[in-house]
Amino acid sequence: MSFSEALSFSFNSFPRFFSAMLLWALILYGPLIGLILLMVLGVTSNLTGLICLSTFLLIIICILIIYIYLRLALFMQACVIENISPVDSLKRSWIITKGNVILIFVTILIIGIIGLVITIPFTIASNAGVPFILPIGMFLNFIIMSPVQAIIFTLIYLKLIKKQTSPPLYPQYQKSY
Amino acid sequence: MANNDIDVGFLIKDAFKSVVDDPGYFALFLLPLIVYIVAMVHLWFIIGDIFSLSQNLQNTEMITNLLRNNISFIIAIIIFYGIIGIIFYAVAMAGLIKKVDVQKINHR
Repeated sequence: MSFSEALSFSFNSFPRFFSAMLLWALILYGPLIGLILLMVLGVTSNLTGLICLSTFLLIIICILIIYIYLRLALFMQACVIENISPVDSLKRSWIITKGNVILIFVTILIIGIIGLVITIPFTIASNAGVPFILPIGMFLNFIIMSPVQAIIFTLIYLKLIKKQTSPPLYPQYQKSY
Repeated sequence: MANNDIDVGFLIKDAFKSVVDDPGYFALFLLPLIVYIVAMVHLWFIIGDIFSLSQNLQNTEMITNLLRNNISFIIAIIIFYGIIGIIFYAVAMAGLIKKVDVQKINHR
């Protein structure tokens, strides 16, 4: 598949894909934004009880967000590969990552470490006074690690649906992997 | 790390190999990258080189003043370029996933 074909496909499926991304962001960050607003309200009106409660809830929500993030990590792949609706793609990711949370966590950790290793020389050079080197490092990290991460997640998704033993959620979309 | 038959090390190696072999993967991500570069250059023209200022801790007060004076502009830039960047990022991701899917099917 050429670059232009891939681009043409993504423009055609953009509304569905972008809706899935917005829904994912709302599920992940909606409660977090609500809690931060609650905390700001507590600080501005000097209510210690409200600050303590929102801080406690924030810690719990952060742990929950990490877990939900890992469970929904493959929703983009579900949306594109199986050609399903935004809500269904989130459900699909939730089902397919069941029992594979550690695998996805380790993968993200390794990708993060590689990204960090790429950025370190640029940070050192920047601290030594080389101008504009830090943004260059950041952009390089983005252009290398973004496709790598997306490819790894897509490969994981393809392998997980291949070894899936339970009946497919959407048999009409199921390919012969 | 291997999870039954999923070897993360092998997948990482495979992903890097795919990216090196086919520049189309990089090309897809050039769109959001250009948006981020334009945003950075726009910010740089208005408020200066934040990165070189942040290297020196003595400039903390200067950075704070700089950010405070331009806060509405910075927020507007982040929202404007952020939304455009996310749109192009979504386009790049969808294209890349489809490309990987098609190529893996062709390899079977």
